[in-house]
Amino acid sequence: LCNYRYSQLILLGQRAHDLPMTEAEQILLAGCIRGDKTAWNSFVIQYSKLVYYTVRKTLTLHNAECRDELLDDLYQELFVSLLQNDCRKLAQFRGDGGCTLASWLSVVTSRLTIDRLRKEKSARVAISETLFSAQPTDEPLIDPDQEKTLITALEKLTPRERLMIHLHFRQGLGADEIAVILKTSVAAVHTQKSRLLAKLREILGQIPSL
Amino acid sequence: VSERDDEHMGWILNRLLLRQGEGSARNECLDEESLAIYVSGDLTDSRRREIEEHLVACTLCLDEVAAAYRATQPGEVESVRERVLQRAMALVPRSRAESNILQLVVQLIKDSLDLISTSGEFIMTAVPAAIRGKGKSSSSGTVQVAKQLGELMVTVEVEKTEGQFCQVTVNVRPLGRAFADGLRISLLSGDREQASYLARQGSATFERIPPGEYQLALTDSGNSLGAICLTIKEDRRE
Repeated sequence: LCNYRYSQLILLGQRAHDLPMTEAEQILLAGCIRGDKTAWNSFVIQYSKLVYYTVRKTLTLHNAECRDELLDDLYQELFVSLLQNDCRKLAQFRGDGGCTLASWLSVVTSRLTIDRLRKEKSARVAISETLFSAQPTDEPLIDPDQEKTLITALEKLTPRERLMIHLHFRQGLGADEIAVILKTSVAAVHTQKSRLLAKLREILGQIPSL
Repeated sequence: VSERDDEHMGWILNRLLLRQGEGSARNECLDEESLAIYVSGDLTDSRRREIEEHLVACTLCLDEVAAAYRATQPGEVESVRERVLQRAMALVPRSRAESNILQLVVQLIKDSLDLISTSGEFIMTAVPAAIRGKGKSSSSGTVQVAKQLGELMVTVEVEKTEGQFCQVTVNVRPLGRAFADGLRISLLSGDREQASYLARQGSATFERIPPGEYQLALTDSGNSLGAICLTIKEDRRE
């Protein structure tokens, strides 16, 4: 029965992770945790593209170079981390609240990638600090007082408003994508965005064009 | 307000928010499943608000949410090289069942006991002797092995007593949380339970055990914590 289910999962191909299939996920995970090689192979085949894509997207977001070598390394590290300590990480997934294995794996992969970048960055900073006594500072975006005012203005927004600003301006997500994440309508996102920009501009006054 | 003003404001916000995220500490990050539920699951309004309050304060978690959202959208195609895929498939998940079993095979020889094989660590208790089979060998009347089974450190001592009988002592020390209802150690032969003790001090001794194949089951409130597979081979030279 299990092998049949695994075959079904493989046949579903790359779109399988978009489907709500909690029962199938449970069978697959239980097989992996039990040490079933067939289950593990199915798991790897089914989620490889997702893992690879998440690594690439996370690297891009953090302005890191998407070298094949780094991509492959992080991809392998993710699968190794899932199996470590008798599959402790895999066993952590409960699938509560309608959480899909795909979204959980994406978060785990993204976290692994971010932590690797942070580690490498801190190592680079440590090396450069020993080589150079003075570090070049970032160019100011705007007048320092205005920057302070803008930060204060952002802090005064509601968490949901700030989240919208972050998703749009930091993550570069479109209104339709933000609407899905915030569980609201696209029109509401557009309206809120215009209102927030007007509010920030008002607080900040006229910013001289660069 | 011109489109250019909006663009300009957007550029400033983008740079400012990216800069704000630098050097964030991973102190109070939410667990991965909470973030995944936020992306793809159902949450109560209050839990959703809690997570959103965290996300605006933690760019690390926010980046992970955005990455998970993007990765689970249809239409994105990523090709994984065959070599890389094969390398991941070559990783073999270690069987949890196997890791929770201590295998132990001993043989009665005259007045002594030989350790034939074990998946645990042999503890030297007497004069060392030649190695036989896969495991180390002891020619004293006692064989002692230890192994970590999940969150337990288990020590088994098999001692030859009179004739072809042995005495088996099991010591269990929890490495993590204490036992809920106390540890139960049961000796089984085939499907039959030969003896069972509630080992409040984590120890139980089974006396006058003849040669045969046994399983010592370790349970707490009916939940299996591990097992010891013990084989005592008889001395055929007698």
